[in-house]
Amino acid sequence: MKLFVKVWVFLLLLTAVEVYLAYLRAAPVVMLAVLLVISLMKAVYIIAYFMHMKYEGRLLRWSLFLPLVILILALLGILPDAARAQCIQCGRTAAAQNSERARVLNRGIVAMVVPPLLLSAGLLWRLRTRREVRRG
Amino acid sequence: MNHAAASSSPFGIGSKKFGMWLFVVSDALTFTTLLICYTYLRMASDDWPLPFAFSPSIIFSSVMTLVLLTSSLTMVFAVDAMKSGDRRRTVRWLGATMVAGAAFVLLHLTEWRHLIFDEKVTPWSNPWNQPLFGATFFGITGLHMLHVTAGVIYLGVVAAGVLRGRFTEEDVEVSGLYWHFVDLVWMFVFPMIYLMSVTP
Repeated sequence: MKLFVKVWVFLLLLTAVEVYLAYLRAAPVVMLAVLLVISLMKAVYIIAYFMHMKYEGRLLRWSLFLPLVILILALLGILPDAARAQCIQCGRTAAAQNSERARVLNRGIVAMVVPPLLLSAGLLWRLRTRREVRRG
Repeated sequence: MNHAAASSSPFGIGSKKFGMWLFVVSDALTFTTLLICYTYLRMASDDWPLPFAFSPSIIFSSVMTLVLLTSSLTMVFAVDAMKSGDRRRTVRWLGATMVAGAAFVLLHLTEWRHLIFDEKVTPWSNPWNQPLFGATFFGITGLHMLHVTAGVIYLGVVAAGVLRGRFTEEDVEVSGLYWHFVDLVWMFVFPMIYLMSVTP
């Protein structure tokens, strides 16, 4: 039970960091990246401890989460399109200057998604390898 | 628990628990799609409103987050009490979880009321000339609030059953899975809808 209280305190601390970031009015891009990383961390901790996924079998974990990850990746594929439509100014200026610029812009947007995904994958991996048999 | 049945399951868990996990994942797909659509619309518009002042809106929604996170902890205690066979203690913790859930819904409705009547935001119009803001805001937070409300009722049914000697340890754990999932969804809704829309 002590463990769960610790996890709860940790989740509260992560939330406090998020709120503090909003208080600072951090730049939207920085904020989005950090918020995504923190939210994924919170999700992993809730799933692993509160939902006991840490103590379930490997087959269950893969069966449940692999489809979800594939869906998220597929859906993220539509975002560069939105960025091109919007950032109407930057999209247009970039395209007007040369197409190379536009491509760099798109690549930058996709690259932003990579760190949070890597981090969550890493966390899941760590939970998998450090799995201890603990019952009751 | 029926150990023979559990060990013959390829996933090593009971069918009720497996059923709830399947529901949770499919529900996660729904929320994922909604949140990514919201991100898409937001990225594709160049004047998305940022209506949430740090004080009071962000502080208010942070309190809601605290309430919901705490309700997850009380739910863990309920599952633990049921595991040790103490039905009275289980019902007490389930009750605490329900109170926190209801408090969350009440706080949320207070905020909705403020947005609808004071700020004149509806799902189809708002003073900031970006009608999709209301559509995404009420759509996503509304679906989440519906989940919390359903969860409070679900826990109420489980608590009433536990009190009368019905339900097993697995049933309480399964209701816990649902509850934690609702908490989990809020951990994405809160930063993406509220924190990203803080008034500069």
